[in-house]
Amino acid sequence: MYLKLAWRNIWRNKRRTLITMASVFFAVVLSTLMMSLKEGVYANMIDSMIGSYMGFGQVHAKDYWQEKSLDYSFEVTDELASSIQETRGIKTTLQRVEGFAMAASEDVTKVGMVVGVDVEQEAAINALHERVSSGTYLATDDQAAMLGTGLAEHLGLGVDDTIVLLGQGYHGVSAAGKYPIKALVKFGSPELSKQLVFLPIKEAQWFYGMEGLINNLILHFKSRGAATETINKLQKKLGDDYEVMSWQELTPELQNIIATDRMEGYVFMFILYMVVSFGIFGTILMMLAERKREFGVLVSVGMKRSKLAVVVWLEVIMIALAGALIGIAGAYPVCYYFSVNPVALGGDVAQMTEEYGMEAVIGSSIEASVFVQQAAVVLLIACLISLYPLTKLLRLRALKAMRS
Amino acid sequence: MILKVAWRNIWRHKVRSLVVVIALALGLWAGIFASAFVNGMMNQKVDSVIALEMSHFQFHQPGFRDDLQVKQFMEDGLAIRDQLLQEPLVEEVAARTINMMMVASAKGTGGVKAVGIAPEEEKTVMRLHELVVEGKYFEGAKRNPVLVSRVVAEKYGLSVRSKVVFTFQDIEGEITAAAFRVVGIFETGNNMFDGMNVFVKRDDIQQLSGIGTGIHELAVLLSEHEPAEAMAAKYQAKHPDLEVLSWMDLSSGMRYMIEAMDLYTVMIVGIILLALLFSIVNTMLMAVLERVREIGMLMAIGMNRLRVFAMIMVETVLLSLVGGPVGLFLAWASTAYFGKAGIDLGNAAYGDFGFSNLIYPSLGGMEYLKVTAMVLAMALLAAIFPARKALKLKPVEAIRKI
Repeated sequence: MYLKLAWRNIWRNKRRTLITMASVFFAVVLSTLMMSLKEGVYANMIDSMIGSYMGFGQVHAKDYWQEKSLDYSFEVTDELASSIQETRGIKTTLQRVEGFAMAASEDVTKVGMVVGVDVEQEAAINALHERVSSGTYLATDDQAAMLGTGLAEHLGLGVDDTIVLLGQGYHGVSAAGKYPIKALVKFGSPELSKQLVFLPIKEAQWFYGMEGLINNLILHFKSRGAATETINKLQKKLGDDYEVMSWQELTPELQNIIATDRMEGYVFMFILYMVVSFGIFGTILMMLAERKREFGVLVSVGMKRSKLAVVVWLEVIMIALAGALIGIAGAYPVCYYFSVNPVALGGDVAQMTEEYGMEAVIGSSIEASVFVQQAAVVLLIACLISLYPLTKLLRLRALKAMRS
Repeated sequence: MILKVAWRNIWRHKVRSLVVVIALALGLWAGIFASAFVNGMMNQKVDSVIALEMSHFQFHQPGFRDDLQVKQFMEDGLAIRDQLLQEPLVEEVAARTINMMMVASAKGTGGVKAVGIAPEEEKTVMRLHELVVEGKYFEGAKRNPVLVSRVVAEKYGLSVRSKVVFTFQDIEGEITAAAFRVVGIFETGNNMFDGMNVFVKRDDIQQLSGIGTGIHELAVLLSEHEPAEAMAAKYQAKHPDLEVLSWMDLSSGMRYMIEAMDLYTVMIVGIILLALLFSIVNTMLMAVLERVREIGMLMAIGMNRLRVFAMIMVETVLLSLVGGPVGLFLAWASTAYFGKAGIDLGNAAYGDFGFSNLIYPSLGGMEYLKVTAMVLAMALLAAIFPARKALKLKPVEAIRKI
């Protein structure tokens, strides 16, 4: 009965219903758009900064990440490899040897990061071969190096020149080697570009005197959403001898930038919610004023105040629900449009974004969670607001209301 | 006459008027406070970048910032410093050497940037002495003192008084090694900066690397932020063979951040204003449509459409005149309050970059005016649509409505 009454009331005054619904609709569309833009920016940041080199998760021997010493190396036995590979959520793995060494040309020296990579896998999974800007990509058995363009420029070296590497290897042995440069590779992030020296993994193991060992196993996940869960599972499986880390732990800086930005975003969201909730409140207040007479008549002909209040409450909830649903439907095409056609940044900003290895665009995210979350928040606000007419109607004075 | 009618209308429907006034006030508050918050965020980042890393402008040999080679030093750097100190705007000038060095200890090896400083100069420019948490600021060692960060100390297993060997290139390109003694440990709160930089005495490095009295970097601190770019340009013209850059250009990240932030703010404030527009349109629409009967009556007794339109617009203007100041006051009060107390972004904040977690919103007078004008324009715009709707009413039908 209540539902039926409420339903009829909604249709009785379509104009009023539409306006109230519109206020909810716009609230959902705008807050979703705002959130979606933010999430889109983060996704772009993460993809270009993590996806290109570091990977979304890594396995090391315990304490390696803290000490960054080659002494924390481990052997990838068949048993270990299959145990990782068989963990649900893991797509593939990449083996690496990562260490530091002085990289020198004839007269310039700089600290470089020497990375031994599984040449073929790295090409297949990370498309490393596509980053070659001059020369030819390494082959598995080469005794040659590949340099980041930034480092090459600094050292004044090009393809076919020779680079000298000097450093400390496994358990303190001194590591020294001389390699022809076979290719230069381009990385967006200046930090990577100015540091990286790639060697085939065999050669790097020889260089550091750690044959058969690696110190870094890069994890690729089937879905990024399940990464944390997979990492926890893997950590349990591998036990205390290994550390399994997510990108959030590997680059707390990036994680921090995003976390802080989110916090700042919440301040803006809060302001936005204030504005939209008053928009909704305003229309409902108006509705109450407009229908005062009607309510007065109803009460005086014998309708119980509580019944009336419930009916009006149901009306508001139904309208809000409809507004929120239509809001999702309305926000989706807008966000979809921006995710497919991101706004290109212009001028200086574009150039700098690219220098940081990110695509110079602001796109939006179409993660379902963004839509659901925003619709839910607005709906919650509407529900809170709907308590106002409820209390107001419970205290309605029929005579006074009718006279107005 | 219209003014009078409009005035009476406002008082006749107090609830409705109040809703519109509050919507306006809230919108104005939202616009101003959002802008002030963004402004506060920006200021805080600029301040910390200038204080810790960039000063206001710096001199280098062209190319030094990319290559960081020992031989790219400025021979007459100290003479330029004396010149700069004559300028009334210049507070202090720090002359520095910069060498990339390898650190080797039992715990590990790695690269650091050793900044050779004159301790007295940096007391004003970088205020390094305030950041020392353990040991003393360049006291307690006769030869080759070094100040390292907590991050570096932990990474290489160093503590106050321990000895550390740095390997680096001298002017001839020869690899040189020298032992330094840790005199103090500092903490800036910016982990990236801390992990990278160690501080040594300029004289020691000049001698060890064989650059005589040459220096690599002049960092100039002014008494105000504003003239930095102009001063940099002026000195660039004076010393065409050197590279003189203001903090904005020194840190590509900074300019990026500022421009990206600007763009981003425009989007966000745009969305908030849009929300305001809708909320006012909705309220006004409700207000007008509620009065169908009344407006119909007015038209039936001979008030023409133009006058009805004018009446509604005048009502809006009058309501804005109330809502505007209320909103301005709210915005001013909240900005003033949070400008003192700060808004805590929690511990997730920029700790690693040396930015504090507290944001102090602030806004200049001009900006207040801009946002106010924008919001009021929006309110009038929002009134036009419902007012037009009222114009289309047919008097007889309107009166018939319940």
